Amino acid sequence: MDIQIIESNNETLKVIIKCRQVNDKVLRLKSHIELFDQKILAKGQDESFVIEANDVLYFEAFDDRTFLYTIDNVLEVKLRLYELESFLSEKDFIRISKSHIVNINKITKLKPELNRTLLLTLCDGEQLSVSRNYVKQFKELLSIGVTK
Amino acid sequence: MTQRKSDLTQFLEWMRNGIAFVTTWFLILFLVYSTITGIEFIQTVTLIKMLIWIIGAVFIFNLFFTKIVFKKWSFIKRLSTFMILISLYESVGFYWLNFFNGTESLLQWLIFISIVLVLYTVSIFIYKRISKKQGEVYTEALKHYQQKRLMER
Repeated sequence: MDIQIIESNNETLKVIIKCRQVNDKVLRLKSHIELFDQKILAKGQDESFVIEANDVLYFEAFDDRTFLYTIDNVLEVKLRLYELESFLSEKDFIRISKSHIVNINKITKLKPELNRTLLLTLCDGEQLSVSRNYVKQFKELLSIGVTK
Repeated sequence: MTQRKSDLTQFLEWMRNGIAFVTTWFLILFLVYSTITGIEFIQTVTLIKMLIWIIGAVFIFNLFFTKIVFKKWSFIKRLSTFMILISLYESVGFYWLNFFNGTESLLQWLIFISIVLVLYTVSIFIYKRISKKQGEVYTEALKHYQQKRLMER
């Protein structure tokens, strides 16, 4: 892959991908670049959307597919959770289980559960669980004493 | 539809694993009990009854701890309902398996179950109070973090 940077005074920042054929690899590269600006390309039933990362409530991996949830939409994204994890701001998004990444800014309430998990309530009322393996990391981010 | 399929698969897997796990432990415990009390054999009818009883118990457990029926229930709600049902199921089951003969023994067993349930209720009540307080502290830390992020932007 040949990468060139061309300086120009007249143009806004533009990334052009030149390829022989648009394939999966190219589309994934496109998604990666879009995520750099914290915008995510997502697919609905018939159309595609560009979603601001801050509008996302959480991402969910299910059946080898990744879904993105906003207040009023469920859309599919091409990237895997680990790929999203590496591009999204780690101060705003955190992995809470094997199949979920949540937007911290959309959480309204936290509650510890008897089985040592944490119950999150999101701004739309939906509840997600932070699994035991991710509780420590979650508490550390919020500076909650782990031994409390 | 796929979610439903996944829930069903999990339920069936848990049934399989649960039956294997509980049967194994039940037999080990029965072996220990038999060695201590000098029982030399177990009747086929008892084994069949035991297996049926185990399937029922595992079913009750999976009913409340998978998402097959009660999708949105909290852990406490699941655990509490399960505790009440399994305690009753246990007392009836042990009586059916002739572990406790005579009405007097059944009564003693029911008293024991009641003590367990009362202790459980008290524990849950204490836990709820602590959990509520902890939840408030955690939510406060979350709000503080969100505020900090807002300022950084």
